[in-house]
Amino acid sequence: MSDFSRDVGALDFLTQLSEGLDHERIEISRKLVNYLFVLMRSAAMHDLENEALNRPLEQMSDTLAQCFSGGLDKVEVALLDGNFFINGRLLQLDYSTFQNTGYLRKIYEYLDIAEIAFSGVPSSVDLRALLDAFVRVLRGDLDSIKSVDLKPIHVGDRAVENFVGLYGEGDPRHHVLGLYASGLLMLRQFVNDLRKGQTPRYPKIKRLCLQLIDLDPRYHNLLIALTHLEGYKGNLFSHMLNTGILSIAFGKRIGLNRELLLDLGMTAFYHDLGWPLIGTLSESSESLRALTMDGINRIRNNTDPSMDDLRVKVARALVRIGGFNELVISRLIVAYESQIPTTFKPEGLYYGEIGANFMTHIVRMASRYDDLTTADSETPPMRPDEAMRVLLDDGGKVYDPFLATLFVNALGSYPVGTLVELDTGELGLVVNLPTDPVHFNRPQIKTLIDRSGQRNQSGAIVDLAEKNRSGRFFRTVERTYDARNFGISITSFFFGAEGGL
Amino acid sequence: MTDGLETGKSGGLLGFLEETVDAHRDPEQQKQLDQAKDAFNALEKLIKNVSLYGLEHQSIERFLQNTYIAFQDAISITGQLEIIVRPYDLTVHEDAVLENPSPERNFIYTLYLDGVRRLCFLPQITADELFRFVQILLTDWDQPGLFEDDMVTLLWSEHFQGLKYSVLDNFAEDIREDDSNTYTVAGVIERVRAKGRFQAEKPDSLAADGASRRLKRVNLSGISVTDADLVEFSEVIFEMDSTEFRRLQRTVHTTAREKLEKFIEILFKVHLIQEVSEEARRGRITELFDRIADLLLENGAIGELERLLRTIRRLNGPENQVIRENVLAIEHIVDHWSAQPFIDRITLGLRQPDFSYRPSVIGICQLLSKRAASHIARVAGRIDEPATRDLLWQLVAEKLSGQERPIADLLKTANRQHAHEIFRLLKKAVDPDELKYAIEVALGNPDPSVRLEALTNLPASRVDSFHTALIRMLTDKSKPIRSRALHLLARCQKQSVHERIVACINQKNFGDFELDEKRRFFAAAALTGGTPEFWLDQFKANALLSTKGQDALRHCAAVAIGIRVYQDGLSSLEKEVKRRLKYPLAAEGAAWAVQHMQCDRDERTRQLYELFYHGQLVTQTGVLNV
Repeated sequence: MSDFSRDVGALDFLTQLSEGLDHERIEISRKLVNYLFVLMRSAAMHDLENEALNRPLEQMSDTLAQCFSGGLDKVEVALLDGNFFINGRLLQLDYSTFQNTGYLRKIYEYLDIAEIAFSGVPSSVDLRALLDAFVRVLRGDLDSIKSVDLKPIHVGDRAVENFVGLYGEGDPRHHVLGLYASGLLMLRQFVNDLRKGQTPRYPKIKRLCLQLIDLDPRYHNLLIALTHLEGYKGNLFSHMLNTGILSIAFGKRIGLNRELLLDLGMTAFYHDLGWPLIGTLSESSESLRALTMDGINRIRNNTDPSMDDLRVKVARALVRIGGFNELVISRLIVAYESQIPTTFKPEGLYYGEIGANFMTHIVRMASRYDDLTTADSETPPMRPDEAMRVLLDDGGKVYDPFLATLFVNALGSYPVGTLVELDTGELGLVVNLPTDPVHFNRPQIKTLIDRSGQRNQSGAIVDLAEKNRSGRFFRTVERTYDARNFGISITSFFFGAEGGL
Repeated sequence: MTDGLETGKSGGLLGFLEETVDAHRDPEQQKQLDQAKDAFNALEKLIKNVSLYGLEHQSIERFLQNTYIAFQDAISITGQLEIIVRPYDLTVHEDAVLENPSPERNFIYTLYLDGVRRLCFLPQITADELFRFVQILLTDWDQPGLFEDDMVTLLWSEHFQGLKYSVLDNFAEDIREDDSNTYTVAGVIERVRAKGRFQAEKPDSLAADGASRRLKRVNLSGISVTDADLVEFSEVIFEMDSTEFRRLQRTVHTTAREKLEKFIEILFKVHLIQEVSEEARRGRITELFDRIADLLLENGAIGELERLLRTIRRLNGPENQVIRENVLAIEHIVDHWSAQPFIDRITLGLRQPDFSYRPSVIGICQLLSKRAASHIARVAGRIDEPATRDLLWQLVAEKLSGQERPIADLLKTANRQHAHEIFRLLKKAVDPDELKYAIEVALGNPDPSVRLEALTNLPASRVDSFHTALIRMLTDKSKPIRSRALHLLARCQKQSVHERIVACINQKNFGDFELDEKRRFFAAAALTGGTPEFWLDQFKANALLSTKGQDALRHCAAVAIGIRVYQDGLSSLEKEVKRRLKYPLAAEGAAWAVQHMQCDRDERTRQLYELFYHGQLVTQTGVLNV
């Protein structure tokens, strides 16, 4: 592959700026770890009053002062899974730090700590107190350094955000929830980095996509349920993730190969990614600043569809990310083709008679589904089945009719999370996709209210495609309801309500 | 030293820093460890070799085979070889099997940083998979194309069957200290698990739900799926009927084909708006399209390149609306690609006998501007296969107008066949001046056969305008060229031409010429002017005692007298024929001249033709025999 990076073009300076800042941050982080080790080693080798400690103490104080002068209110040197993180950023080793970090890691392990944090520039006395505690542990005079109050220095375990123990061993929800939660945060960080003109961690996005692709298809329903997670829904990063999940789930259902799935997933993540970059260039719109789908759609829907300025702007922003690279072609195309009003068909976007990419149709349907099931400033969210009905009834006005039918068939006209009333009088929530694609309106549900109208705490999962001996269906959906009115949160229904497990 | 450290539980700081674990291993594990060390030694050698000599070097196969055998041996002991990835080394049964002291460009550290914690080699691993794994380890991460890749994504993309890996995803980095709890994993989980809020039924709630309900609204808050439900979740297979499947296939395929075209159009638009000045825009666009072309050519996608060019040609603007900036940019790209480097590159494969992209290459050439004509003509000269050559010449002919001179310039270095084809093409050009230019260029070609070709293509009717060049050719090193020039000059009855020919005759090296050529010079000189007495004087000189060289000159002079039909010289000629002691060449020339003077005009013309073309003196009855 030739060097295409130069295509980043007129916006190069932004990358350079970010690289400059990054470089400075990396250097300070390295110094911090080096000096911390040197300080602790010196303390172990000399008496604490020995002059040999003066210089390491000075160096440590100066470096910390440098950190705090940059506006930080806390400096954390955390060890996580063998890696040092400085304020959450992975420390990048070089020759100068390689060996020292290895030793410092051993010291952390020996002290059984995961973090040394500074909430202000420590005085020489503060640092000596830390060293004193350290030496006492080495001598065996103190059991644990964690028991000593060393303010403004905190030594101890890192507040690790994990949810081990929430679910039993082998519970798929642990993995699915972890994947979604981390994906959400990662995409948020990704968007924020782009907006600030910083270089985001591109491989992480790709890895998120790979993980979604590799997720056991048995648990796609769990993932789809999470697309209804309120509180984040409506933000660009949440929309990126939800669109990606729905697109990948659909792609897997129709049998796309791994490479196409990756392309589709990344395309879904990136389809609106030009917006934060446009925001970086011109922070003119209040709604854009918030980077909500409400704001983005408002601008997009009020743009003259015959004008391709907006599309070109978004495309230009994406070119900045990927340069000219054959891997990003689909993303660029889909992002370009997606920048039209939500209710417009993607046609006439090119000089010739070329229609939209099939991925554009998929991504736009997934994106629309997510938009419709999200409350915006003017309208309440649609129920999942209502949103799917919009796609199915489109009749080729916006989406390719063949792909729209396939989309609805594959994800069900009553998607996961729909509250349905059956002709038996039972009420249930759709928990899984239809088993029979011919009967895409017959999903699998968990009954919540039995025939007598009583709440059924442990109702069974029933397949609405099941028939009796005479060939008639046991149950058929009669109508749907908004699950929220019944006190159901789709996500807590699948992942257990607080205090419910 | 701090005294306490000697007696403390650490046993000394340096001691514990250097502390190593002496792991307990059973004999089988120990055997696998030993074998694994061998395997990684072999791997190290393979890596070193690849780094030194590249992937294609012949020695790689041997190193790979050794490594593969060693790995299989290690795997066979327990049925798999599990490697733990640590920051600075790879370990098997808690002992390092591969260490790399350098943190920079260190694949062990990169593996670790990217989250790979365990590699497991299985018996089904193939040598090819092992080699691809090595290639991943040696990845040059500075390649721009890898901007969103790391070890994990590359391992994933290889889809290894005999190599499994475990990855630790560390998301701690994605949280900043300025983030509130909302944007932490705990915050997300909290929201996921937040119970719904039951909304008691309002009097108008029937309308809100869109239909009358039999059901009374019940508070279902807190209900969730159970462990038993989880067990029931199974993969739901989605099956399409064959019509749907084919349609989907078609849809995917069509859009894949259009991908490049769209990409180009988008980039084209992006770059058109990006630069302020026309010059900057042009530079940017050509640079970009050069790189696209590079990429396609590197991947052998010539068909795609043809599509690309067709697409570019179409980017004038929306239907029925031509955008001037677009047109200028397109012209610039096409013109840029009509230069020699691009054409040389795309036509490279045409020399291969089984080249399958011939139609695409021809198609691309067809789409280029007229400026491409001379470069295509140059390429045509290198192609052996007649059909392809013809196609290229056809293209050149189509683009010929205005390109005659650049094409003629090829004659400076062309070989005979190429020159022949160029002349064949140029002769169709209406402007004879262009042909004159081409001939003059060809006369400078070092290959005499090309110079001869040039003279052959010189139209007899326009000899007057070429006489300077022709006179120059009289001193050409090649005899056929001098002869052809003489023949042409013979038609040019000008005193100046005559004098130049005579001057050649008088030159010292004229004596070195063969008789037939000397004769041509005399014949040409006689035909272009001068007085016949001049030839008679030459003939009479040295008549009594001639050297061999003088005999030849007298022979030629006799021929010249004959050609001039100089009756006053007839007696001298007859006398020479009848001499008892003959100078054979002079006698031969005289005999020919005598009979020539007696012939009618047509016969004389025929004899002159034989003299110039075949270098022979012929008579009415055949070859002269004195």
